[in-house]
Parts: sequence; C-alpha cells; structure tokens
Amino acid sequence: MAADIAVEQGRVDAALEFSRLADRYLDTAYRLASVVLGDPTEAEDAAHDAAVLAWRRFGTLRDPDRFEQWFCRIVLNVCRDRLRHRRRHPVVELPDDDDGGAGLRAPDEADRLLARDALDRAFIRLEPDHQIVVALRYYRDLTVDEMARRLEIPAGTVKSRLHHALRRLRTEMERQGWREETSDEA
Amino acid sequence: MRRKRETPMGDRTERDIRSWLRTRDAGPAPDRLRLRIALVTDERERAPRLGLWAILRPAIALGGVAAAAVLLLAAIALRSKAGPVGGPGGSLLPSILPKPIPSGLTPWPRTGAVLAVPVDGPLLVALVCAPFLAALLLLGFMARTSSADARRSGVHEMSWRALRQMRTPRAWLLRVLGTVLAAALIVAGFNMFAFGQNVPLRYGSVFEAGGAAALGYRSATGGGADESYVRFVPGGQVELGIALANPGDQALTVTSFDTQRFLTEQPAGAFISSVELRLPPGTPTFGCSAYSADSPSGDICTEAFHPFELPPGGETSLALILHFKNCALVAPGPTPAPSAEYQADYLPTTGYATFIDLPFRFSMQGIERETDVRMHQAVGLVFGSSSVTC
Repeated sequence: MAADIAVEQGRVDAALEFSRLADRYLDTAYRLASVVLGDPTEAEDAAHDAAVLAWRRFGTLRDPDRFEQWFCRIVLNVCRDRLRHRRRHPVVELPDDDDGGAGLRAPDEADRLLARDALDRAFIRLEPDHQIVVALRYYRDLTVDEMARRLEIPAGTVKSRLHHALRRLRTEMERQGWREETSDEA
Repeated sequence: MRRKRETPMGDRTERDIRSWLRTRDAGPAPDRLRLRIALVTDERERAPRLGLWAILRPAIALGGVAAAAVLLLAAIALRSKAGPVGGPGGSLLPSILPKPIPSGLTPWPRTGAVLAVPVDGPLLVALVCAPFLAALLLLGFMARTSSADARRSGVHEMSWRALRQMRTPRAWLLRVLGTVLAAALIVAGFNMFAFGQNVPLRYGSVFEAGGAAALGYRSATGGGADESYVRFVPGGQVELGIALANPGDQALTVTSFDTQRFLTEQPAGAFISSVELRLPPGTPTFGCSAYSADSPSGDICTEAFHPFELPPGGETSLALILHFKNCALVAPGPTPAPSAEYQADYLPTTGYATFIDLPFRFSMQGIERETDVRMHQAVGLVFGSSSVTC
C-alpha cells in the first residue's frame, strides 16, 4: 500500500513538473510547428500529439534543463510525420483568381509578393527533412551545429540537407516564374 | 553577364525566406491548446494501439522463421520416396550368375535437376543449409524490428506504403536485405528441389529368383509389373539375389535396410518374420551370388550386412534372405519337380503375396535419406491354398 502511494505521488510530481515545462515551452513548440506546417490548426494538433508523446516518454528525460530541446525535437518529428502523410495524401488547391492586387502595387512589393507566392509553392515540394532544416535555419536562426544537436544528426548531414533544400527551393521557385535578379540584383 | 553563385541562394532571397517564414508563424499558443496540453497528464498509460498490419507483421515474420526452420530440418533429414523406376529393366536370371542389364534399357530416369552442385562433402551441406540459415537470420531480424514497430505503432502509423516510401539509409538497407532474403529463398528452393530429386540409389541389373524355391516367372500384362514366384514354406526361408546400383555422379553409402517398413508396407510382409542381407566378403563388388552353385568362382554373399559405399556408376550384388513366419494355417506352396524347367509363363493357381519395393537408407554428401528401391519385377510368395491368413 505504501509503495502504491509512493508511486502515485511520484506520478503526480512528474505530472506537475511536465505540465510546468510543457506550458513554459508550448509557445516555442507551437510556433515552430506552425512555421513548419504552415497551418495553425494542424500545428495545434501536432503540438498536442508531441505533448502526448513527451508525457509518455517523460521518464526517459534525465535532465529537465534540456526539456525545450527535447520537446522541440519531438515536435519536429511529429511535424515530419505529418508532412510525409501530407505528401502521400496531397490536397489539391484550387487556383486563386485573385492575384492579391500585385499588379496594382509598387514594383518592389509586387516582387516580394511574387517571391512569397513562389516560396509558398516551392516549400511544400521540399522533402519533410529539408523543410525542417530550412525552418530551423531561417526562422529559428540556428547554426549548423545547433541544428545538428537539436535534430541529433551529424553536422554534415545538416549541411547536406540545407544545401539540397535551398537548391531545390531555388529550382522550384524559378519554375514558378521567379528570377533572383528581380529580388537580388534589381 | 550572369554571376556564378557558390551558394544556392542570395542574401536578399535568404531575407525573403526569413520574412516569409515569419508570416507562417501563428503566434502564441491559443488557450484551447493550453487546455488540451494541460489535460495530457491526466491520460493514463494506454496500451499501444496495434494496427492490423502491426499485429500481422511480427506474426508473418515469426511464421516465416518457423517455416524456414521446418524446411531446414527437412533439408537435413530429407526422406525421399523415389517413384517407380518404370519400364522394363532387370533381366530375369534365375539361379544363374548375374549378368549386366541388356543394352538399350534405362534402369532409372534421370531427373534433370535444375541446379547441380558440383562439390563434394560437407560443402554441399553448407550450400544447401546456408541459404536457410541466412533466411532464418534475416527473418529473425525482421521479426525483431517488426515487434519494435508494433510497440511504437501507437504513435506511428506503420503501413507498407510508408515503408516503401522511406528514403532513409535504413530503408535502403532493409530493401537490400529483403532482396538478399528473396534470393536466398529462391536459391534454397532450387537447392532443395535439386537435392530432393537427386536419388541415385536404384535397383541394379540382376535378380536371382530363389534357387530351388523358384517356381516361375510371368511377364507383365495390362500395365502391371513382371512377377517372379517363389515357394512359401512356413518357418522356412528363401534367398534372393538382388543388386543395387548408383548411376549418379556422386558416391553414396548404403547404410541400412528398413525392415520395419518393408514388413508393414509390402503385402508379402505379413508372411515374413525377418529380413537378412548378406554381402560378399571384403569390398562389395558386382558379381557375388546368393548361392554357391551359381558362383563357381566362390564369390558368395556370406558376410553380414554393413554399410558400404557405391561409387559413381557402381553396382553390387546382395543376398536378400527372407525368413518366413511359421504360419500354422498356411499350407506350403507347390514343390517344383526336380527336373522341371523354370516356367517362363508361370501362373499361380493358389494364393500368393508380393513385394516390389526395398526400403534402403543411404547417405550422400553427409545427408542420410531413405528411398524405396523398386525392383524390376515383383516377387510373389506362393502358398498351398487359395485363402491364406497368417
């Protein structure tokens, strides 16, 4: 009986500790998921799934100070699974007749809109792993070593993924009609 | 002139990417998400959800391991029952010295095995068994990984399609292993088939019909086998001369005669109490005889049976001695007149029981097997009455 009470008490303590840490880093995880997935609703589901997973594995986390890194890695894994599932079950988007008024805007803004539109379409064509490294690199501004530690993969792999991701991104954007001269050399 | 870049993206484009990614940032987590997260810890540990595929994969893999184990055991203890030799073959030479089979007759059909293994000794065993061992290891590996997948299937929806679409090195490794496994199974199957088909122990070319007990011979009619008849005497015995041949290209060792099977599976076995085999003294050679009168050279089959080797293309004679049961209700068969000729068209008018298959065990390349050596003609034990039970 005493042992049961101790176990239950330990579980309650763990739950409180987990709730505290999860709440503290939920914003970070949710925002990262929304950037990777591009859909706030799906990002909510991803963050929730990651929290469920993290709670189940919470006993394996030895150092609570590394909770953020650990939790974000779980979030990214869940996002990667969702991106893969999305690639297997693609949603066909209807063409948007409204060009957002790009033709009526100033040339710089039109170029920016064109670039964003091209990025939108090109980004979803990247491999899920590539989408994640691009997000970590340009949204979280992580270095290669930081990304390697966070994803628990070699730095060389991060470099390779990033290089191929950017090259593919450029190719896809150019296929969308984007030219770098319009933004970089204009 | 277009500037050649060393990096895939320019600085301004990278800034655009940063800016674009920030537009995807949904901001702080909404309250409803915080509420969902707060409820996470209320969830008790659940048993992992096992999808049908996650359940079936370990079962299939384990079933494969079991099947491969059975096949491996079968390969080691292969027990082959060779089919009928077919066609005419043995020359009927009652109570005379053995003679070779008439030319033009094929004593046994070649099987035309698909995959021949041109090696000798234990290497053959290794070649036959290695693919199965490899298959066992690989299937065991699959079972282990499958069970691991099943354990975590509660959060990862495992599907065959997803596995096929994986691009990780592990996925490629699994593909390679799968290909190797399939190839191993195919090769093992061919090996099994070829080895199972290769039963070179056949009946030889001579037959001695029982000396003084020989009654006659009848050619096959209506698709049956030729039959040779000998007299049955309760408590007595008859000595037959038989021959074993090895027309294959690998040596084999005749290890034993399965008396139990012979007595239970052959119709005449019900009237025979025991079977004795005798070899000529020394190295068995073609030419020994069951009867001294038939062997002026003195090459008589007198030595007790012991395992002996038949080289490729070799043949040897043996004496097959049948000890009859002392059946009180069975009258002795007819006695041929001392001066009567061996009847070529003998037709028994009383009851008789026959046998045609001789179950021998032999080993080849270290693997022992058993085969029914079918004689060129059946041997009939002729009784003195029409209705007999022993």
